Amino acid sequence: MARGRKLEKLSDFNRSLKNKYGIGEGVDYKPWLRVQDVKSKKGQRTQVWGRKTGREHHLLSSIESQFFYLAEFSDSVVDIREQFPLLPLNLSQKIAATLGVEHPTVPYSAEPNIMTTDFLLTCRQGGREFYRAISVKPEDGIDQRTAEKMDIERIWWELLGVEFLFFTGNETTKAQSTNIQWATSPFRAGIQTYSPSQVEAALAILEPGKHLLFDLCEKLVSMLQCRSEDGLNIVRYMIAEKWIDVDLNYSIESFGGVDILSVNLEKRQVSNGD
Amino acid sequence: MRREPAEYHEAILPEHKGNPLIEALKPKLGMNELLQKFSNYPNLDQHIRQHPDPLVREEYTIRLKQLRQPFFIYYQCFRAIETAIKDGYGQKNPFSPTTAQYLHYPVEERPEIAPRTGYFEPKAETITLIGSSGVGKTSMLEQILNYLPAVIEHDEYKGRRMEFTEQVIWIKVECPNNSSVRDLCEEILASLDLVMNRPKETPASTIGGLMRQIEQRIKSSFLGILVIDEMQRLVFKRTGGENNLLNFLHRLVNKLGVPMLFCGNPPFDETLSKTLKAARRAESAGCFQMEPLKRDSDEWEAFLGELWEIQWTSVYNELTVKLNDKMYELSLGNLDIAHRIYREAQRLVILSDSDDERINATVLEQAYARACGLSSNTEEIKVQREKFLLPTGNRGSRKNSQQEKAAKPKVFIADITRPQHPEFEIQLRELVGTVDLPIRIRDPDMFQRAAELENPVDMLKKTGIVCDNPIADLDFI
Repeated sequence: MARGRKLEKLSDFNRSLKNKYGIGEGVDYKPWLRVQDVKSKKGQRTQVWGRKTGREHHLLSSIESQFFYLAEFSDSVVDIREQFPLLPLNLSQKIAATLGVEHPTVPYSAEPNIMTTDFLLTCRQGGREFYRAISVKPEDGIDQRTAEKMDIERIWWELLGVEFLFFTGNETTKAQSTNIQWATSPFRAGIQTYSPSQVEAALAILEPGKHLLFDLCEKLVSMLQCRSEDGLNIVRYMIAEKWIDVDLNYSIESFGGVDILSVNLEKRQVSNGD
Repeated sequence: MRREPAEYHEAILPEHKGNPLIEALKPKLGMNELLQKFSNYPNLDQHIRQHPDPLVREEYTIRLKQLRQPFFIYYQCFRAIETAIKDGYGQKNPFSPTTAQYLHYPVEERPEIAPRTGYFEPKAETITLIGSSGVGKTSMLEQILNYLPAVIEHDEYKGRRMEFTEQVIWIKVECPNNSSVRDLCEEILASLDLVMNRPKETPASTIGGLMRQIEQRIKSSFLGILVIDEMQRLVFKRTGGENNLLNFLHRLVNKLGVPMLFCGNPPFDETLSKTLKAARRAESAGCFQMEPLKRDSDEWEAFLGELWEIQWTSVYNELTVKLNDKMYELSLGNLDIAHRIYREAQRLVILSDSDDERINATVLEQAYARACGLSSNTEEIKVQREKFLLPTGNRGSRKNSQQEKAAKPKVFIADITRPQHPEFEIQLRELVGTVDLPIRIRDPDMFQRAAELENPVDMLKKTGIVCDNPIADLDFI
């Protein structure tokens, strides 16, 4: 892993911009901060391949990862930009001054720091495209100073007419996120996929209701004449690609069972050619 | 190349009086008047600033290159040239028998009988101008030489008809790449044909013949000064053949009395000092070293002050000390580089997506990187720029809206004090400029109030800002 960038002075920030950190969209977006740029932040830093964006996402804590999986799974979300810098700097300074709070500074150098928002989502619904800004913090994580910074961030987005949301996570979202991660992880980076005929065959077997994972896999392997390890992967694929809706509120992997709420019939009919 | 009919002014020196070649020259001017003549301040056309089409304004930045800010050295150099020309013509009064003999016989074959007025005594001096590339040597020469007409057309001088009707004041040639005498001769010949409006003369096939041809042409055209640019190309390759060219030039000076001006980049002075004779001759009428301007010099202030005024940005950018320092830091006093940086800076802000046309230190830095192609980053930027300009239709499944945007060349300025995300740009710019921010903020301290409570999330949930269930929530508008 490359060493982190030095981000202390205004010239560092400009150089970052020049190297296109924090700008662009979709596959071209580079987060303002990458996992290797952040050293002291506690929590789990991970890089996850985005199935919607086609690039590596930099997630700086476990709560960020949790939110990322959920946002990516949401149908209306078309682009996710993490560590989105609030530029121009003079506007965040202006907001801070208006609110009467101190603008964040770089530790050691007292130079003004560039603020970031954890996630900026591009959503599309009914042909309309709009943005949502999300700040992600663990529930116990709001001290007075954090709150001040979050108020600057919140006002920034409200002034821009962008909905600002706050995500702290709970047991349910944690389970959902774990399930999505479990279901989608073999299919990130787009290496492994299954053919339409395999999907069709699997759809013929899958029925709504509670199933033991083991039974489901046995059935799929014998029907599709595939290797035994593929049985589980097909189930995961069907969930990841939303061929089936399953109850995500409890951990599928640890329970060893899956509750299929519905099978996407529209998709089944299309693939059956009816 | 300007031609002017002769207009005679009485010469100052008694020995120059009655010499039409000298009296046809421009009357002597003082320093201030001369510097006025050497300057050129491009037209600003203020109204263009308001022009709605950025491409039009960008086009105007081409005019930046027309700026000529003369310095004291212009005056010094001009005086040296003027003196050398007059001195050279001093011996060549076309009405004197000396000149008649000089014109008639090749230098080596003149008869034993001296004319009444004596043999022709070649008198010619050489001026050297040295300076690294971009400091403005060529611009200066252009300004100075173009002040003088290239050709003066004589007809009658005080009732006497002139035999030679054309007097060539100056020609400028470039030193050939391979230091070849032949190439230089041919170039001189071609330049003379060009200024005298003659059909191209076929160069003689032997070097000897060619040199005689040149001699004859230089004599009959009354060449005032021969300017040779790019003298750094004169390299000593082998012993023996090495200074053929230099010898040839010496011959022109010594035998024909043609003043010369050598102009070249710094390695050239080393070349010259290799032979004492060359060095002595080369500075006989003065040696001028042009150096990049110093930051605290009046010249820099004058130059940048003038350059800076030439701007077609929608807002007027004032030249602050900080920007002045930055320009100096980037150009290191090199006028050409300063020109390029400033032009690029204007193009950057004019063509950028944003309406923000302020020029600041960051913009200058970026302009430098683009205009001066020295760092590896620049290559990258160039490639990126080309990418922006090229149609992106064949890139498959990218969003259509992006292809439409690409129609306008996108220029990107890495400056943290500018909006960087086109999707929010209009609002961001408005917000940066607005004064009523406090009124627009509905709830200035929601999180701060919550943080004081025992359970902040409970309170925040009531405000609807908490996203409890992203999978479901995000699919609602």
